Amino acid sequence: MPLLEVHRVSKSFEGFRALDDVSLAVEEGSLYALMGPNGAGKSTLFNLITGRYKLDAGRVLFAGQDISHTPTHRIIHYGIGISFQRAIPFPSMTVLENVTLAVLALDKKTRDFARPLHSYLDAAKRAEEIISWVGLNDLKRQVTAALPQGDLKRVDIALALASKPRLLLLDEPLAGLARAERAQMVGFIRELLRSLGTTLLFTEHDTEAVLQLAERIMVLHRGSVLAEGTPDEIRSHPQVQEAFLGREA
Amino acid sequence: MRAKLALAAVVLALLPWFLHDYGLQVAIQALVLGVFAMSFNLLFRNTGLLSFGHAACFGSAAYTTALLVSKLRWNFAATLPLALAVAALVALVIGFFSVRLTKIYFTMLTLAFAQMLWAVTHKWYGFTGGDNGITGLLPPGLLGNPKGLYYASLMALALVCAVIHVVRRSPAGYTLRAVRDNPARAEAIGISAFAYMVAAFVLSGTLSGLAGFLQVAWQHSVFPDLLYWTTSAEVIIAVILGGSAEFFGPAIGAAVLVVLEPVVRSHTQYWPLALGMVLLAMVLFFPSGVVSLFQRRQRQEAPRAAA
Repeated sequence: MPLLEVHRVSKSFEGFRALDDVSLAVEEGSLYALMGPNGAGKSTLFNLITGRYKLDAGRVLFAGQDISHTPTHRIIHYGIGISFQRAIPFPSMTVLENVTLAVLALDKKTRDFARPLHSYLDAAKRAEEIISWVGLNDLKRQVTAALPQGDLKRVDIALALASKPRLLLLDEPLAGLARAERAQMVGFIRELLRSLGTTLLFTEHDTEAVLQLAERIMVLHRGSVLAEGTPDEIRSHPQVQEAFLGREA
Repeated sequence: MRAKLALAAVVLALLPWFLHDYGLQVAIQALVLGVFAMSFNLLFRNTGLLSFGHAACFGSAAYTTALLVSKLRWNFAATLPLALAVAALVALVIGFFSVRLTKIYFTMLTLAFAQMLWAVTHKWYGFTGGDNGITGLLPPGLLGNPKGLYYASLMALALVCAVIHVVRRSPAGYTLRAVRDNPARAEAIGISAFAYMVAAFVLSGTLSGLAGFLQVAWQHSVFPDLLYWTTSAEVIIAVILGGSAEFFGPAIGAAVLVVLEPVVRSHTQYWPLALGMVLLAMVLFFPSGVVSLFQRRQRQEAPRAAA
């Protein structure tokens, strides 16, 4: 059984069909990419899976459970970690406070109005472990407002990892990064997921990065599925070549 | 910081022994508005929600005390738990419907709720006394004595400050900041932004109810204007004057506002004009409030002292 199944989902915005009858299945342990140019429907599909948008039609199943109309804050507790395209962690807090809060949120301990956050030593210890995974040990006492975009992405991924995800959802993890940072980030994500064994579904419009990182790829075009397969199959797909890889079929 | 706080506590504790009757009344009024402003700022500072309906919580608590004392002959102090419960209930209803909206829409909806409550109170002569209000509510014992009421109000202010301090450091306090900074990101770590904003509204409204209770003890009467939009505006002005980003800013702003009014009125009848000019100057030149003026001065003096 796939870890994530998306069944024939559709979404319109004021008459504009942003996504039309799209289905996909992500197997546990795999790295799955949604590829396509701006406006293809990648982020719409991402937001439908994460519960930010309401489905017009179709269903989303996670580990066999229907999560179609589940709000975002509940989806996390099923074992899904989310990182957004515009990585803006909580700017008034340090990196450690950001991740500690995410750890406490998973355990539903954020309801505590009395005990100081810093006295939750177990949560802080777990947060430090996650911060070391994303390589930000030296910056853990820094207020996130002062961090560059690349480090903000890492903090955002750390927040997603705090939910102990079986499935990690990353929306455009390379957006806003310089060319050198992009290569670094691809390597970082690959290493991270290899060591954690987490399943990944990500959206990206950088074709080269997707072909490097993903094991399976779905190509979206104007809200519909253009192609689906392994990187080699996508590379040799005539319509994908014509539309995205700059070659004539 | 601790030394300054201790010094301020000593000054405030000794103040009634150096004030004449009128001065003591002004000091009590400043403390009551201080409790209200600190409570209001708990919501504003931590969630970014600008409520224009906090008079509903303040006034409903005041009217609960007044009605229980005048109609059911309750002991004045014994009305406090129910007054706080009513303020919490009013905050829950307003918060539940309002926090779904943001920015100006949130502000307008809170204003609409408070104005509805004011209209009912203003017209329901048989129950609330309408615009005649309810008078003759002299509390017995400690609260009936100006010095006693001063110390009770000071303790209430200390209690509210302690609650806010504890909440700010707690996971819930950090959660409120997270919701204020980035609600979508907060949802994506498993936090229901709606639930926490309602909780903050209820806590802020309940503490505002404490100020409403003290207001009756000080004023010995209640009138519909306690629920009117001008009461909500007054607390916002106090917060702007003091500075919402500074912990004690709202309480200091309340004291400045309460002391400034009789001083200006003794020289001119145009108090609203003077207040408008002060607010204009604050917003344009000192948006962080009067507390930032002292801090700026300290920063300027520190290098000189070091040299």
